[in-house]
Amino acid sequence: MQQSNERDLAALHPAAFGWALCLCRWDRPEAEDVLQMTYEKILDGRARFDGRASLRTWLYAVIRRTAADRRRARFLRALRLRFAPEPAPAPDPARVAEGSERAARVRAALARLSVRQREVLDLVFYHDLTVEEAARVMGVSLGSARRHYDRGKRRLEELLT
Amino acid sequence: MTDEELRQLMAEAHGGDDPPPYHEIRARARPPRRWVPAVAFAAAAAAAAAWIALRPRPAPPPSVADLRVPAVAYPLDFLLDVPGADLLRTTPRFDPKEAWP
Repeated sequence: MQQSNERDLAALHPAAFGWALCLCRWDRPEAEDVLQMTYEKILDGRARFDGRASLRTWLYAVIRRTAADRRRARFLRALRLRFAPEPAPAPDPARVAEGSERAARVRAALARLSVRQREVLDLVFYHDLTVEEAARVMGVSLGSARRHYDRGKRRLEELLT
Repeated sequence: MTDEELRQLMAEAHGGDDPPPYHEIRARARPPRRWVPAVAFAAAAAAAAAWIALRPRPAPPPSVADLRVPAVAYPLDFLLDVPGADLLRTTPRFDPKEAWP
């Protein structure tokens, strides 16, 4: 990766970590591992930025794919061992409760949304992406992203009121 | 709930993110293993060379001498030994002076 791109990557790091946390339901060690693997992919050249989307959109998509790969690998490993599938990293209650009570309530509510709903809301309302950009990150059609966005908003409102 | 309220809620949810320094995560990532393709190529070349050197070769074709049918003596061969058999093997020669005095 070129120096300038690496500088951009470093600038995007805090937001990328926030996105990884959302994908891992605020499991901090898991989010760090996902981010580490993402950077490895980029350094190895397994993930290449082709300039078709913005660097941020591309990076978020790579992080999302890496998190999904880890989830899938865990699931397959559990299947091979003939055990019940390892649950997705459950949010640590202590960690969820960190910060203000309201923040903890929001995190708990977000954790109860479907993965896609949580992703689209986080991308739009925290990372300031448009729904179209969020769809690109999530690898779904714009219509599908809009549906997840609307349903997610409604559900989050229900959970918080 | 307005979009602005949602934005605030999300910001609060991410309030305690506290990302680790970029260089810490970056340092944990293994450096690119550029030697892997070279080692893979060398291993493939060595395997190809070994195969060429040790592959089973087909037996060489038999020489002309080996193709000759060996002389076999059969029990009833004596029946072929008839008087004047040499006439069957050689061209008879006639000497006109002797034959027709």
